[in-house]
Amino acid sequence: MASPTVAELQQTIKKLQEELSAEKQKVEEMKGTTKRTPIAQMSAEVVDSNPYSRLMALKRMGIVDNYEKIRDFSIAVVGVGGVGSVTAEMLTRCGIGKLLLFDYDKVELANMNRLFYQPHQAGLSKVEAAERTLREINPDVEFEVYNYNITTMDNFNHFMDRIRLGGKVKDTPVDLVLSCVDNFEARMAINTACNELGQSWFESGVSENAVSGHIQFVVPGDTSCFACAPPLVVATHTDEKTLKREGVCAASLPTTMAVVAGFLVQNVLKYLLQFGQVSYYLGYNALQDFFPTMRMKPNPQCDDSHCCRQQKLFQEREAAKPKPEVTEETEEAIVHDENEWKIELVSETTEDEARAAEGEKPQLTEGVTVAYTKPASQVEESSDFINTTDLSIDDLMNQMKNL
Amino acid sequence: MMNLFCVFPQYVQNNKEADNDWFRLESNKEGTRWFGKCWYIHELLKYEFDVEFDIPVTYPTTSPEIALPELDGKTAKMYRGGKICLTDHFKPLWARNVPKFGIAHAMALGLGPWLAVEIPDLIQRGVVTHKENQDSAAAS
Repeated sequence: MASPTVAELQQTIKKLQEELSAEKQKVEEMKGTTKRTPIAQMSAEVVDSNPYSRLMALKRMGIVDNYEKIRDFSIAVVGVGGVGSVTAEMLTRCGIGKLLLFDYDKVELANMNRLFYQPHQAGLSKVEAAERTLREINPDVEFEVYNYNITTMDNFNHFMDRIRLGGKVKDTPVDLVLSCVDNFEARMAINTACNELGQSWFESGVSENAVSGHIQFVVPGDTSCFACAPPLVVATHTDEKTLKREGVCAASLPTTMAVVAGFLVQNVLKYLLQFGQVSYYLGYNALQDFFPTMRMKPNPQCDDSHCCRQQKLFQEREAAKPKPEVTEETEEAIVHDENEWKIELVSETTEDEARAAEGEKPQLTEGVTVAYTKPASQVEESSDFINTTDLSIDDLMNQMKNL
Repeated sequence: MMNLFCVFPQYVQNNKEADNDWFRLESNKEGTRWFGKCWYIHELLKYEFDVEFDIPVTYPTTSPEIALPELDGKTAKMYRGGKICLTDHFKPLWARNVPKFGIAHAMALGLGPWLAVEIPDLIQRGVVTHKENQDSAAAS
């Protein structure tokens, strides 16, 4: 047989190229079929291809009256790390209407002991990586992502605006803000914003030793805000190192974070879809599997002036409501049958002294303590304060340079 | 808020008078971002570092987060971006003194002790070395 001519070879190449492009197209088409397309209306139809059938079954089970309503809600998730990313994924899978994500961090390989992010996403900003994954999981969800630090002056006002105007319907407020951040400053910033706007929000946290966590529901004016009392910690019978943040010093477990994210989203769903009872505080001590719950009243002397304003507004609203009758139960004082030697307990320090040193302590449930105490605010001595000057920052700067 | 900054030049002056000067800071026009240098003397050698921080919106309820960016990743006592760890030695102190504390306190009671503990350790581990162009304390 004669060896093929150049022309024949060229023909073979062409044929092979055509085959290859046809194969490539097939692969593309296959991708298209596994890619989930947006669905206009949630259906309860029980077929394998309906991503909402198991959720809509909640209605048949008599748990939720109107599950479709979840599409009307908008939620801001601040911090999409160990807790926030899982929280956002749960809400996405539940078919939430809109998610606003805030975070200024990048995905790092050191995050891989937690759920959600994958090694190939290292180097991407967390919000960008999260949006991509979540859109693929559920294209029905609307996203707004912001890659910035909310605690700086420049970003804070924008952050407030997005809470105020980031609802599902244009220019309405979001329905809830979820704090999934890892530091005190960011929690305080969220608290400040929400008190000012009267926005309900959930705080969540995992301790630095990774074995305890909590969620807290803050309704400005009604329940204790984050500034009303020193941060709360769940006592774990270990050296308690309070609510601290991630970073090289901190330990973290995917388990604890997922448990806290689960608690958080469960209560978000209960609040939005109005079923069951929403927990105002739910603690988690992983070492003993102990889950304290309680409800805390706001502190009338809260440092945050907007918290005090919201408390006043809340009390006015409550006063306007018709009151249900309350029957008071009186507790009888314990009187011992005999006390022959007239023994009584006397403290070395007076009650007032002890109270002043410890400061006002909130009413806490068993197993929960404050991270630190604050001394009672003393009558302000004017000598404690530096005299306010009329110097501008420029004058001060010059003064410093001349030193 | 201005009165909280006012103690600051006084603190710098006190340091100077006591021959105990250890940082230089200036701010942007709004006073929201501060930057400069701080230095630490170890075995008669001066080690100098850039220092920066923002005044958070929640100030004075929360303290500024002081950062030494060039040491980022070199010690475990640091958060992303070179923010020094203030959690144990300074945050509770700040919280108990709101709203009396300001920048001078954050430098003196936050950064100061951190440098005193961390820098000798960093030098010993060879992570921080003395740069020739920096004056030694003996010469200056």
